[in-house]
Order: sequence, then C-alpha cells, then structure tokens
Amino acid sequence: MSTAEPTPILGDAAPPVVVVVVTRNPGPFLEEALAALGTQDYPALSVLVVDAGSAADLTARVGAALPSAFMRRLPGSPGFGGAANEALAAVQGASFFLVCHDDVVLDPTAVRVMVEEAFRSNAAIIGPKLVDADNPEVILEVGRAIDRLGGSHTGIEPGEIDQEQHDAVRDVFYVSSAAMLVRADLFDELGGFDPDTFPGSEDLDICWRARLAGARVMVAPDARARHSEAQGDRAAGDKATRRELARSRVRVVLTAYSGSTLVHIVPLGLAVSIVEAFAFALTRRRAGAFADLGAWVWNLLHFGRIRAARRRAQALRSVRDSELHELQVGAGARAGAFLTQHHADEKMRSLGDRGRDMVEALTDILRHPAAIALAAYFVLVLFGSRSLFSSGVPEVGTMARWPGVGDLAGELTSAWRHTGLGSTTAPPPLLGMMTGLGTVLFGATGFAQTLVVFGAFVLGALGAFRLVRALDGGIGGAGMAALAYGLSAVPRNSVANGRLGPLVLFALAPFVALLVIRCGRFPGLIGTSRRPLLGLALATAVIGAWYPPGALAGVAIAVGLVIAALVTGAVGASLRALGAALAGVAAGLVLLVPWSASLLDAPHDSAAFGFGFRPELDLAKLLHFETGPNGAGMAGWGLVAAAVAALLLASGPRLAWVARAWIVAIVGYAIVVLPASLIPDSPTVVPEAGLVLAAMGVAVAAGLAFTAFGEHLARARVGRPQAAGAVAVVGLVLGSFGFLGDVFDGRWRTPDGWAPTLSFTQDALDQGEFRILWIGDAAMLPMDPVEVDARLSWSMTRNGPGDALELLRAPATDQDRVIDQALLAARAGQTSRLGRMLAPAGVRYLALPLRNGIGGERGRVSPGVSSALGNQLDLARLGSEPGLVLYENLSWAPAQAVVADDATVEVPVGDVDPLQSSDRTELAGTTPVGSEPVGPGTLLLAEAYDDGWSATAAGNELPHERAFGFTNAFTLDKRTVASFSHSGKAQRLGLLVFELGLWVVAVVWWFRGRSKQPKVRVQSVREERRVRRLAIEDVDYSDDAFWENK
Amino acid sequence: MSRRPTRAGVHRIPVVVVVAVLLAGLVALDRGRSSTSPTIAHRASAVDGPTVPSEDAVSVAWFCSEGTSFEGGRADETILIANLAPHEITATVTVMLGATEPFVVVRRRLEAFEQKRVPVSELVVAEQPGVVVEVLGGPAIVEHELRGNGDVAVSPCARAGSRDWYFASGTTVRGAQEWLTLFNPFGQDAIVDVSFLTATRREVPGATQSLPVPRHSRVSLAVDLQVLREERLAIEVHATIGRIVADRTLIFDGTDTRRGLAVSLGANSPATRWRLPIGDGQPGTAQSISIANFALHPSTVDVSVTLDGESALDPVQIDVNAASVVRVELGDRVPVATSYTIDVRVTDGAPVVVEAFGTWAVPAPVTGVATTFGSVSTAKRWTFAVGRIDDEADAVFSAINVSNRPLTVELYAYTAGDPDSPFSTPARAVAPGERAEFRFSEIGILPNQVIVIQADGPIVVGRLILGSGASMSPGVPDLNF
Repeated sequence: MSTAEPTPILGDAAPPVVVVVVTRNPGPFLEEALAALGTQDYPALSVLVVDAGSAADLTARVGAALPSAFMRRLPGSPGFGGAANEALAAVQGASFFLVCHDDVVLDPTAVRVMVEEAFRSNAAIIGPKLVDADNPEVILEVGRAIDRLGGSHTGIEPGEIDQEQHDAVRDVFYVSSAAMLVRADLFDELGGFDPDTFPGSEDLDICWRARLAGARVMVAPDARARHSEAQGDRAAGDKATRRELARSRVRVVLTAYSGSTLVHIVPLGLAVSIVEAFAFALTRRRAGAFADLGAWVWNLLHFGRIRAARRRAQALRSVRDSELHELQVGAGARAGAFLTQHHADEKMRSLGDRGRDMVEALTDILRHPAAIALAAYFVLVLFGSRSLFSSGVPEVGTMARWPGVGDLAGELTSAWRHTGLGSTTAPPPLLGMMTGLGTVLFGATGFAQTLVVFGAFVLGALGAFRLVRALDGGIGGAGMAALAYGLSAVPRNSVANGRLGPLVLFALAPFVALLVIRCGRFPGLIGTSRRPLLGLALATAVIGAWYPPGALAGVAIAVGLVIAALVTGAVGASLRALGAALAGVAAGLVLLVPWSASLLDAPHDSAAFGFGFRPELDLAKLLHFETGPNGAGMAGWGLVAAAVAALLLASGPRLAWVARAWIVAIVGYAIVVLPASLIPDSPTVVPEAGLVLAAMGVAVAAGLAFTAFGEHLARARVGRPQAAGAVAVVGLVLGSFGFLGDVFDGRWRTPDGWAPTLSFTQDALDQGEFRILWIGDAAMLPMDPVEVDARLSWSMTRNGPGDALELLRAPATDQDRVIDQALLAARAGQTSRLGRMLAPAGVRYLALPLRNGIGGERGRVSPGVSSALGNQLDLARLGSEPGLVLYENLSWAPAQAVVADDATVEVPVGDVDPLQSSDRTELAGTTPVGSEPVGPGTLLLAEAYDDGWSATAAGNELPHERAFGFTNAFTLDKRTVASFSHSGKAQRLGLLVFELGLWVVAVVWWFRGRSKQPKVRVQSVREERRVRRLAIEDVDYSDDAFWENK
Repeated sequence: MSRRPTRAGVHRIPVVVVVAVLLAGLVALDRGRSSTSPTIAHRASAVDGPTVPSEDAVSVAWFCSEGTSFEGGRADETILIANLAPHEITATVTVMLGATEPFVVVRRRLEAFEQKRVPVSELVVAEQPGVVVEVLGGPAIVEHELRGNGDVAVSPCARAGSRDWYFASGTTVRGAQEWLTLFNPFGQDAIVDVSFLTATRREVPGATQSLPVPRHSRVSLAVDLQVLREERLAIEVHATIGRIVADRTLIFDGTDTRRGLAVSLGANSPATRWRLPIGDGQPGTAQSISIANFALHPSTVDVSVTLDGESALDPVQIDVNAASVVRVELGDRVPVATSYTIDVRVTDGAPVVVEAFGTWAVPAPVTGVATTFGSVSTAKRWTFAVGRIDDEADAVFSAINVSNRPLTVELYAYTAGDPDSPFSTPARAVAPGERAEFRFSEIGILPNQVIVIQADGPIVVGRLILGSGASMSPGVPDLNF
C-alpha cells in the first residue's frame, strides 16, 4: 500500500487570476505588498496596480518592486470600489480577481490556497486570514459577520493571539476588501463594486449582494495576509471620517434588505443610533456621537440616491433575508463592540472616568438620609412591581397588551386607523414610541410595557427630586419631595385602574414643572437650563403622545403660578411661564403633526382625547389621592399634613414656593372637581390625571417643609416651627403606610383583565375576523371609549380583547355614530334586533363589564343597558367571569364577508338608513373572505365607508358601494380570490418621515443645547477628582518609603 | 405682628388665607355639586308592562306566551296586531316551537290603523307555541285573544322579557286548573325558579326549582299539580339565567259555579300603588282583589273603592304578612248594579302585587271568569288592539282621572286605512278620582277597529269584554303622547 500524493485541485491549467492593487498616496508598505505578490506560488497570476489619483507618479516604485506588474493611473479619486471597477473593466479572460489593498502582504501560498478553496467549496468570494503586519501572531480577522444594522463584527478580541483557533474554512457574511478573491463572472454579474459605498463598505456591499444572488462567501484561513491597517499613516484628506463610514454602511443596509425587512429595520436603526448617541455622549467621542443617527437620517432623506442601487441588488435576489440571519450576529455583539472595538481603550477610559465621577457624586448624595430613603423607595417599587415583571401588566383599561414591533410599525404606517369602525385619521405618535421602545428591547414589547410602568414610579420621583433641588438646593428637601411624590397613591391607583396616560404624566410632570419655571425665569433658581422652551415642547409632546390631556399639564401648572403671584409676587415671571407653557403646547402639537390635526375634532368628540369621565369620588378621598384600591385610608392624609406644615415652617423665597406648590395642587384638585361642580354631567379627565398635579404640589410643599424643618432644628429654641416640622415628618411616615401595605401585592392591586376570560374568542377567528363591542360605564371599558351619553359609552376591539394598536382611538366618525344610535335604540326599547344592527360592523361579541377586571373596582351601572341587551332576540348570553356580562351576536357576519348571489339576503346599498336597513337584513351564515375563492356575490367589508377602500379580484378592481349606509360593499361577479386594500399609504409614510424628521431635529437641537451648557464648576470638580485619583494611581505601593511616610 | 413679611416680602398670613380659601371653595363646590345622575328617559323600563313604541322605533318585538293551536287545546290563540301609525307597517309573526325546531314565520302588511287577526292554528298546529311579533316601520301594539272552556280572554302581549314575574290571584281549589306558561324567545337557555305564596306561607316545591326553559321554547307548568288545593295562591317566577315571558291561565270547570278561562300577563315587580279602573257591579258578578306580599317583611295597604256617582267608600286597611297573599272580596261592599274603581296603596312596608279576579254567572249577561292586574303607571293616552271581539259582544272601557283637576277624555276608534277621520265619541269631562265609562254596544264601535282613549291629563284605562265570556285587561299606555 502506497501513500498517494494529493492531487492538486487546479492541475496544470490554473485559472488566470488578476490581482488588482488599489493604491493612493501609498506609504512604504506598497513595495512590500507588491514584493509579496511576486513571490506567490500561483502560476497564472497577473498584477495590476491601480493608482487612484496619487499626488506623485508611482510607476517607478511599482516597477522597482514588481517589474511584471501592470500599472494604471486614474485621474482623480473615484474611491476604492470605483477604481477597482474601472481597472477591471479593461481586463479580459480572468477567472478570478483578487482585490487587494496596498498595505496587505500575502503569504506566498495565499492566492493558490484561496483559488483552490473557491473550487473545492464552489465559493464565489474568498478571503484570507488577516494578521497584524507588525506582529503576525496577532490575528485581525477571519471573515466578518454583521449585526442587523450592518455593524461589522470580526469575533476577534483586540490583540488576540493566533493559535489557529479560527482556522476552520467556513461561510462568512463578508470578507474584507483588504484581500478578496472574487469570481470574475460573478463580479461582472454584480456590476462590480458600488462606488457610492466608499468609504468602508464596498466589501460588505458586494458580499451581501453576492449572498442575495445565492453565491457563497467564505474564508480560507490557510491563506494568510499581513495587514498594516495603514489608515492612520495616510494623509488627512485620504482618511475616512466616522460620518462617511456610517453613511456608507447605512446605505448598504438600505440597499440590501428587502422592503418588508426595512419596515422594522429602519425604526430599529434610528432607535439604536439614538441610544448609541447618548451612550457616546458619555465618552470623550461626542463629536462622533451623532454620526450613526445622522447617517440614518441622511440616507432616508436622500433615498432617491439609493433607489437605483437597491433596484439592482433586489433584482438579483434569490434568497430571503431570514436565510442570512445565521451569518449575522445578535444584539449582544453590538453592545460588546461598543466596549471592545474601535478606540475601546479611549472609550473605556472615558466611561471609566465618567463612571467614577458619577459614583462619587452619587456617593455624596447617598450619604444623606433622605437619599437613602429614596433609594429604599426605588427598591420597594421594584419589589412591589415584581408580578408586573414576572407576569406582565394586566390588561385593564388602557394598559392594553403591546403587540409585536411589526404590528406596531404596520399600524403606524397604515393609511387606515383600525379603531372603532376605522378612519383615515393619522396614527398617534404613541405607536411610534412603542415601536421604538420595543425595537430597542429587541422586540420584547411586553417587557417594554412593564418598564414604562415601573419607570414611571422612578422617573416621577427623580423628577420631583430635581424640581425641588432647583427650587431650594437641598438634597434633604429634594429627597423628601421625591419620596412624598412617589408615596402618593396616584401612580399605584393609575396602575390598578389601568390608566397608562396619567402614569406617564406622573413620570414627566415634575420635569414639565421645572421647565415651565425655568422658562419663567423666576428669581433664585439654582442651576440653568439652555433651551428650556424646546425642552418643554419636547416634554409636552411626549406626554401628549401618551396622554393628550397631559399636554396641558404645563399650562395648568403655569395657571397655578399666575394665581399664586397674587400673594407671592413675581407676576412677570409667572406670566412668562404661562406664555412659555402655551408656546410649549403649540410647539408640542407641531411635533405631533399630523396626528395632532385630529384635535380639530375635539369639540365633537372630547372623549377621544381623554375628556370622557365623570368621576363620582368624594372630595375627601380625592384630597388624599385614594381613587382606587391603593392607599392608606386616613393615614393618606399624612402627606397633606406635611404639606400644610410647610405653610407654617417656610419663610422667604421658600414660602413663596410653598405657596405656589399649594396652589398648583389646588389647580390639580380643581381639574377633577370643578367641571362637574359647574356644569352637571360635564366630562373631565380621569381623576388620577388631575391628582398628578395635586400630588406634585403637595410633595414639593412637603419637601420644602423638610428643608425648613432642618434649618429650624439647628436653632436651639423649641417652638411652633419645630412642632410643625414634627407634623411634617410624622405626616410623611403616615403617608408611607399605604405604600408599604401595597408593596406586598406585587402588582399594586391591579385586577386581572378580561383577556383570559375572552381567550376563547381566538378560536372563533377561524370563522372570520370579528369585533368585540364593549358597552357600559366609560371608566370600566378598555381603551378610549366613545361616549354616547353621560352613562353609556362603548369601545371596540378587533379579534379579541384588544391591544395597544387601539389606544388613542381616532375621533368618532359618522359611521361610528351608527353604533351610538343602535345602542340608544336598544336601550330605549326601539329595537329587538341589536345584533342585526351591529352585524355589518362585524360585531360578534358584546361585553358589558361591571368591573374593570376580575375582582376589580365596581363601576357605575348604565341604566337600562343590561335589560336592553337581555331583550334582544339575536343576542345569546355566554358564560363568563362575574363582573362581565357577555353576549354573542347570533346575526353576526365576519368583518370581511361575502353574501352569495344565490342567498336570500339582499344587501342594502346606496343611501339607506343604517339602522332600518340593517334591522331588516339577516347576515347570519355569510362566509368569510380569505385566501380561498369566493363569490359570485357581494363582498362586505366592515370598515367605515371610505372612497379609499378598494377590492381586487383576478386583477380587477370591483365596483364599490356604500352598504347599510355606513360600511363597504363590492360586487363580485365570478368566483375568485378577492382582497381589500386602502390607498394612501405612500402619503402616510411621507408624513411619518416628516414627523420623524421633526423629532430628530428637535432632539438634536435640544441635546446640543444641553451639551454646550457651561459646566465650569462641574468640570473643575471632576478635574480635581481625576487629579486626586491619578495621584493615587501614581503612587508606587511597592515603595517602602511610601508606607514609611504613611 | 403676624403680618410680618418674610425675607422675600411674602406674607405668611395671606398665603395661608389664600390656600385655605381656595381649598374651602373647592369643598363648597363639591358639596354644592348637583347630582350627576343623568336624566335619561328609559321609557321602556320605567313602567310595569308593555307600552306603545315610539314613532321612531326601528323594530319592536312582542312576545305572546300563553296559547295553544291544536284541537282541544286549553286556549286557542289568535294574535291581534293593531297598527297605530298613519301609514303602512310590516309585522313578522314567528312561532317558536322549541330549541331545535325551525321557526314558522309569516309576514303581514298592515294598512294605517289596521287591526289584523292572525290565528296561530292557521300557521302551525302545536301544543306549546310561543309567538313573537316583530313590527317594523312604526308604532303598533299586539294582543292575543285566547278562547277555551266557553270563555274568552284578551290581554296585551309582552314587549320585553324579564327575570322576574309575579301573579297574585291564583287558586288550585277543586274544579280549578292553573297553568303557568314560561316562554323563552331569546337565544340562550333560561333557568327558572318558581315559588308560591299561600295565605300563610311560601311554598318552594323542589320540582319547580331550576326549571330549564330552552331557548326559543315555551314550557307550561301545571301549578295545580305542584300546590294542591290552595284557595289563594300567588306565584313568583325568577329566572336565575336568561329572561322569559310568563303568562298565567286559570281554568274553572264549573264545579263551584265558576266556569271559564282567565289569562294574565305577569307583573314584573311589586309596587306601592295599583289602580284598577274596571269594577263591574251588575247582578251575577263577583269581584275580588288579591294582594300578594313577596317580601320578607309585612305591608299595610289601604284599599279604596270609588263608586260611580257617589263618593268613595271608606278605605279598608289591610295587613299583609310577609310572604303571604290576602284576598279582598268586593261584592260585600259594593252595591248591586254599581260600577266602581279600586285603588290600592301601600301605606307601610314592602310593595305588593295586586290582581283582580271576577266571575260572571247568571243573571249576568255572560258567563266566564277574568283576571287583570292593576296599572302602576299613568298616561294621557291608552291604546287597545280591539274593543268588541265580535258583533254580538260588548265591551266597556273605563278611564280614571288620576290627576287632581278635571280632565276631558275622548275615545277614538280607528278604521283601517282611515287615519284622518277616526270615529270619536263626544269628549267627557271627568272629575278628579272619578271615571268615564264607554260602553261599546251603545256607541257602535266595530270589532275590527283600533281603540285609543286619550285625555288632557293622566288617566288609567281598563277594558272589560263581555261576549262569549268575560275578559278584563289593562290598556297599553302610550308614554310618547
């Protein structure tokens, strides 16, 4: 038995390889690179050196280093890809191109190994292992992966020693253009490099496009190349900036991904780049902080420049994006790269300094008992929210389930708003924010929702802390104010009653108050804030996006300040604050365009904007914030007592702020009480919204009382101040009782929502899409109800108990009002066929909640409704949990249904009375429209009638008519598959981009304003600390003299 | 000294005063807040029993529980539909025969003010037919005429199902049959508890608890087999699940000289005042009222009888124990040949249910029995689908003036297709508390005419039919008028 020599793959007739070395103003490394090419053991090798506009002629240098090389000199600088393309266009007969940088030194066998591997693995693009030119034991890369946003990842630790640990031949997402062997026919088919991806992303682009075309991209680690990474040695004009690199990368991402993938990648990219921008801002690399964000914005604004390249890339596509996911890296890699790659040392140093500064500053603060108490509060909030983290937020009220990022983004970009019976109103920016949060958390929208709920407690308290620090300076008072604000039952009852909007208002109200005060330029404020008006506009917009009435919080606060000016003076500042608050609202509304345009409907449907509640709480409960199951009973008065004590303790400017705080609190109480007192049955906001301001005022007063008490304690005499101070302290302690009691529940006594009870409805989806009509007291209904009258409201959810897509519903349309009329007719005994009336709207279930959840707070009874539903001939009551009366509509029709021509039913079309016509038409038994052929017959679409709706069957648009006077009918004259669509998506997307642009501009402008703040004092403190630290670090602890001196 | 300004020129006292005043203002506003209870008219549920639908009603269903449609049935049923609109309307008559049985449906068009008779036996032969009449296009009322045992009973059908039904004037003595019919026209099954009040106690037979009434079905319960030989028997029906419509039928075979058929649609709730406008004192008649107290605590009621042409008799005060029924015989107190009205008022304790029972025998012109509930509501306009049931029969309509001023009462008899010129009687002036009586045989009203009685103030109207038997019933008030 003899050992046979391995047969060379290439044999005698090695395919010709043309090496293209692209160079521009090279350093001394060029000669070494060319010399290495001359030593290759590959027989059919030609070398073409392309000079992309060097200042000096390189002919002599190239000739000396590699006499056999061809030389081509290009005018100007077309970039790496452009230069390579131009040179290769002239090459004939090559099987492979080896594209090289001018600072890459190939091992003698490298070309052969790569070509052999290309044949062995049928790869189209092959790259070598790159090692450090100066220290070849240090590995640089063995192919590259990318994250979802195109960020490059080598998987190699900085300075990692090459121990052949990465030497497996394998598929990679892309290989560096430092040395890239490309099959010539593929290169031609791909159209070469995309010159616009210069600098930095030509290699990613061509490999990605090759991947899309179904070609393999591989690394052959046995082929080794030393890479100088000579970027730093080049002339300044030849260096790529971070911004240019980011733009190129984002261009590739926008070119290569499919349209459907971009729907979530673009928001993800924007969100992540915003987060990274803030993270970079903590380092010393602030200049590059906004490079990524700017790259996304720039490319989106110049999308036209990408369109042609994108068309070319997508034309070659033979694989889906999802098939490439395994070659991409997960989220953690991006975060890891932030710390480990690209100037990691500098970042870490910077982060380290900042971290130490923050820790030291925090330590200073945490030494204070008030701060310790506040920290304990945060821990207790976390403990009290444990069930929210483990089981999610119960679906009560507006705490609806957050759907996936894709669904949120889909609704955001949809031309049709899917609330009520639908409308063309713009989607609320809230959906964009939810999309952003969900995206940042990599699709964990449920967790995002929990974080919002939990974060509101923390942020609210921190806001109160910051507010009182600005007013009075002391950590003690600020801490106590934060504590008092957090201990109030307002956020807990907001959670328990399922009121997301007031909870967000709770989180941001103190910041709004501070900005309003800063805008007013009240005397004696501590610290400054640049562009407070812009900050106020942003804060107002954020609150308004989550809770429209909350946008008026700044105005309410300013009104309180103006009233207080009667006794505290500072009239000018108060009026300035009021003006700023009004301007903030106006600017906030601009930021919320186009959704804010729907506010024009507010006079007709105030309930759509949060003014649909008629609380019947007694004032005593309101005064100590007991609007739900959380609270401390009489002990809840403790916080109020502490605030009253402030009136007796404070003096001077502090008394002025106490007075202002109290009057703001009274304004908050009045928001809840006053409307119903002045006009019976007039709607107002949910009580928690007004009480946020009241709690803030009370908390600020209590905090100031604490500071004043501290000063009085310093005096030896015992008198009224000391007694009042004792009252304040005892009040705070009493106020904490309720909080401590509620902590043990784990989810702030929030009842279970109705979702588990209605889970069976998911099985009903097989029979067609449907709606659930919720009827009853507005306070008990999910989402944002439509108000019929003072005691009767309704809301509508689709295909189940509803989700956050249906939050902040569009103002009720005339078609929505048909539901009003149907309910009124049923309640007045004017119909016994409510089911038929609701059938054209796709209503399959009617739910009458008597509580806001299983075991939740009991609501008011809507008189006559229960008996009216019970007396309908076409409703059948279903079994359900106590507190929920549930009916099934026996006459229902799927939301997309077909009435066959041979059916006995005739669909009333044209200008008919909705109630009369639907009452006379039995739709039970109609079949759903899906992916199966239907017809001939009449297609029914249970959306509000709108010209924009169309139905298509076999490529033809079907005649469109108004059905039942309020929905859509389409005539289908043959049996085929039909589908519905609504026009106007492009316009919606355009407006969305415009809105996003506004936000980016506003945020960047505001943030830049903040970063330019004079921080001399802070900087000097930090510098002092750093010097101190360095002094310690410089000590040689091994020096005996040091210890002897000690 | 207390007005000493603080360092920043802020006076403590004004601050405290302003805050206190604002808080006090808040408290004052809260205390002075008007009741937020909305003033929404729920006309359908504000009164006990059916009412005339409003002009803009889209579709109104009427539920007729009792009745049979087979040879030898206890109560042959004919549906009477009266169009109260000055235009054509459509009525769909649906006979429900059981949860799994197909409906029998007919559609009828009615001219303006037309009265349409629909014998159920012409639609279906069934032992337990439950009839639903849906009226589209305008106001209409629906009654049903039941014939059996040589007697006739005409009473309004129900406009709504209910969870609770009450009957006061029953009996299971020898020679009497008492039937309770429970009709469930709705889409879900109902579960019903039936209990009984005797003169001294509440009876809760196990067999009448958790009775299933399947959807789209009617169930008849032979009460006389559940509670034997009780002279006075009131019934309480409570649906623990679902809603039903309940009628009660009394059939007397003549054993104790009483012979005939009496049918009543139940009352939905006890009340504190009941008015009965029909008191027939002619020879051969005997009338009583039964007062049932279904509550757990006693009641005291005053029974007042106002005779025609005379002042009222002295009220009789009656104690009605908890969970008991009391019968008051009126024949002993009312002079012969004198008509009268009855007013029952609870003066203390729980609300009660009041039902009248009458017998007619020789020498009265007819033979039969009849029951009727009093009215708990008042209205300016009352309607009836029919007056005389045939050319030979007579009918007496009585309207009590329940206001404290004289009223003018008019009777209109509408003829099909003639909305503009209804037959009307001369207006009658009626003093407070007194009644106007319209005897149809004297004023020539035809059996196919729709009857409307209206006044310029609140009245209560009842109908007494004397033909091939006797029937008493309240009218259907029109609260829209």
